[in-house]
Amino acid sequence: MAEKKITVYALSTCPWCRKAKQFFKDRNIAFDVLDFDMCDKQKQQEALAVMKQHGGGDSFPFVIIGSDAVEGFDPERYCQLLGIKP
Amino acid sequence: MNVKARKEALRYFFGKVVDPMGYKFSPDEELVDFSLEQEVLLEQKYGVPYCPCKRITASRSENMKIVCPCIPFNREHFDAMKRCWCGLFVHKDVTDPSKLKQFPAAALKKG
Repeated sequence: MAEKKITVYALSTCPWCRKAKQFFKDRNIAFDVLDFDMCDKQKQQEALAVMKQHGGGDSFPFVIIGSDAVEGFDPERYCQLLGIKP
Repeated sequence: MNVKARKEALRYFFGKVVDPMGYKFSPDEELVDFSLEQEVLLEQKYGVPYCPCKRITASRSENMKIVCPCIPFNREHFDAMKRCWCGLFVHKDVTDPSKLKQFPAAALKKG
């Protein structure tokens, strides 16, 4: 089902980022995580460039599913993009 | 001041600040406790209790817009969600914050 590449851009201080990570964990869906505030400056710049490319960059969680991006914790949208039931 | 005492101080102060704006602390006490703690840790690191869900930039003027409570800088967006971005505060009429959706400000323009 979940064949799209998923990356969760998160802040270690953000409760909704934890919920976003948990959403994928609970469904055994593979995903990558980038804890923005735990990265070095160069990695942050790279991540920020990707987020901005997808129309984000200021708010977390920021989830990229395939070629789509979701700003915020939005389980319904995650399911929609993955083609799974909520 | 230790983390616990500072959390309580922020809780008292923020409550007074957001009340006239039509907001209150979320009834989700676990979320409130976690978020306040993160803000205290951010304050210890940066000197300011920033929103725990927003990116801290190199621009002081931009960062001032994410100092908690950042409701005045995001009024239209937060009023539409009935909560602030991190969910620490909700509209006074909200009893079940789990029903509130977190969506980006850009979604307002799309309608």
